[in-house]
Amino acid sequence: MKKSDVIIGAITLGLAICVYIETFSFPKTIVTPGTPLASFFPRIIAGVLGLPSILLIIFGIRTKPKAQQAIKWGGIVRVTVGVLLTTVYIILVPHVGFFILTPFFLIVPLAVIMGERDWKILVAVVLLFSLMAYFVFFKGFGIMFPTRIFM
Amino acid sequence: MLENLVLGLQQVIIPYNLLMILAGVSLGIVIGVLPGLQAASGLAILLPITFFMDPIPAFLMMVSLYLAAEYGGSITAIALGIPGTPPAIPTVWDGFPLSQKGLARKALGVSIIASSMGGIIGAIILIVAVVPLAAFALRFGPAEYFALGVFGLSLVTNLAGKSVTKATISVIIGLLIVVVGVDVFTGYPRFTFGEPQLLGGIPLVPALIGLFAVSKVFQHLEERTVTRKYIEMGGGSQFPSLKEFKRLIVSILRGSGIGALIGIIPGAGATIASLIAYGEEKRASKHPEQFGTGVLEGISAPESANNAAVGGALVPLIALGIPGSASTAIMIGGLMLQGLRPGPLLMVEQPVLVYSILVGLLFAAFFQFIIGSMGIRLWVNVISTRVSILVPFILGLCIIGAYGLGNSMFDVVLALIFGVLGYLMEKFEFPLAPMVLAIVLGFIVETNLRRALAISGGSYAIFFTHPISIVLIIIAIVSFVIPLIRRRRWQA
Repeated sequence: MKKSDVIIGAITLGLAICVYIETFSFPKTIVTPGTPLASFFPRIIAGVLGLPSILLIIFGIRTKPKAQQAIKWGGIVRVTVGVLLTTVYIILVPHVGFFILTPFFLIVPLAVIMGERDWKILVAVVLLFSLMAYFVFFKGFGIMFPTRIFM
Repeated sequence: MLENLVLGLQQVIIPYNLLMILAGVSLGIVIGVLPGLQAASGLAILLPITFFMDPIPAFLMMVSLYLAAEYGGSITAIALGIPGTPPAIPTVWDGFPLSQKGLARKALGVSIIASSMGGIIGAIILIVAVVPLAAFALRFGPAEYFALGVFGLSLVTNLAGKSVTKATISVIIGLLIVVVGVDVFTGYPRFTFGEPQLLGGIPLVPALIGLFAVSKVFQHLEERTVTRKYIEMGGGSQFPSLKEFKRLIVSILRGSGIGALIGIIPGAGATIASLIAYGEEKRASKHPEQFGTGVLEGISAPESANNAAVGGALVPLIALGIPGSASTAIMIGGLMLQGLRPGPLLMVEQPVLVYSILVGLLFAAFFQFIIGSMGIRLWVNVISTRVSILVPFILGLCIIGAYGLGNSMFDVVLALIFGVLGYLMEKFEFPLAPMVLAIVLGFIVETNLRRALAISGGSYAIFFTHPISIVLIIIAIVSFVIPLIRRRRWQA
């Protein structure tokens, strides 16, 4: 059995059922005769999603188990840290400001996670990114970055 | 047509536009050289920047990047033995053995000549094919558009990767993403969960940035890709001798023809084009046993094919508004971002833009040759770029890109969500291209389905009484089923 396919199949099947049920809460007002309702297309998609989801579960159950590959926890930890870091960054950036938070909270930590240890390179990247963001995107394209504590 | 081509030429030769082609080609080569990044990732990163540009320079830059990324992949294939992009897979087979023999310079020289000639031939075929196809498509009504959209979605089996079931789920999830937001027919907010920012639907650009760029960041984080060292360049001439060139020109022309024709078929793409061109070249060769040991035709055929496929892929994109790959789907997103309507009317409403793209592709191929051949050593050096710095830099650009379009942190949140989704999908072998195809085509399919039913008073006969519609539906069924049968035979 391929567990991941069975689990994903169950999730998408659950999603199909939820979407299908949700469409019954849509209004049944007819705009012009013959025009399908707002629920028409989502209901078709939800119905169609059910079939490949069931197939995925069946194929997953029927798949012969392969030799277990060792899970590389280091990689999973790095991705989790990367996602968490970006999430916290998104929460903090309106309160702290883009120009200070992006290089020091996102660029440098991720570079270190990727294995960069040369501090001169890190300083150069901080400078390059900040100058590019300021002159190209802020001054050039007029993007109004969140600016709180400092620019 | 000639008048419009002159108009396009007048636009392309504006210094700023030439500069954008130059920038697009340079960026494209860099994207192609870096393993793990493809034309689609480069276009996704570039997309929000093009929002701040006029449509003509924006699209000149995008098509130039698209073309050059396909060439850039060959540099890594030859110098490192790893394809920089999937279409460069067959280039490894003869390119890397040549490098090991100390003939890297010549292999790279053949690659740039073949790629650029392929790009030019692809652009010529694009110019010839796009006008009659778009003129034909002007007859389309809602029923035909619906059928066209269904045909686009039917390509899922071509883009399926390992599992058609997973690709089908990927398409349907893409369609579910499209139905979020206010329904254009009734004004009812569907699946918005009370979130006002979702009333306009899930914005395309943050979704594309997330799926194609942020997901790559997470992949690199997981693999902790190390900086690679390339093989020494070796001495000798960069370009083939006249005698060698006379031999190669046949394979370049054959590869370009195959590439452009396969490129036109939505869903087939540059990878299939280069693999078929390599196979055909080997079949036509008097010494097929030498393929794989380092023959120049093993580089010229796939490289001309994958560059010619770019011109081919732009035919359905411009003439019908149907993307046949992730890259062209992102370019459709670029058209929408500029407030333009992709489809056959584009040639009527925006002739100068369309013809600028057509002429621009020719210029891009020419610039690619100049930049590619002049800076071979420089481009090879790009392989040694520190991935540890590149990855966070790309994430920073993604955040700026997602935020910059609407000055909204909500778009950054969406880019992150789609980034995680894209990463997980690739991890569990769900192809991304079908989902993007559905996100781009979903709106066309739903609105035209409902519009056609409104016209017919709810009768489904409208789809089977219009000749173009019925033909397109049959083609859709055939293009869905035939690859399935081929897969079964292949697996058996």
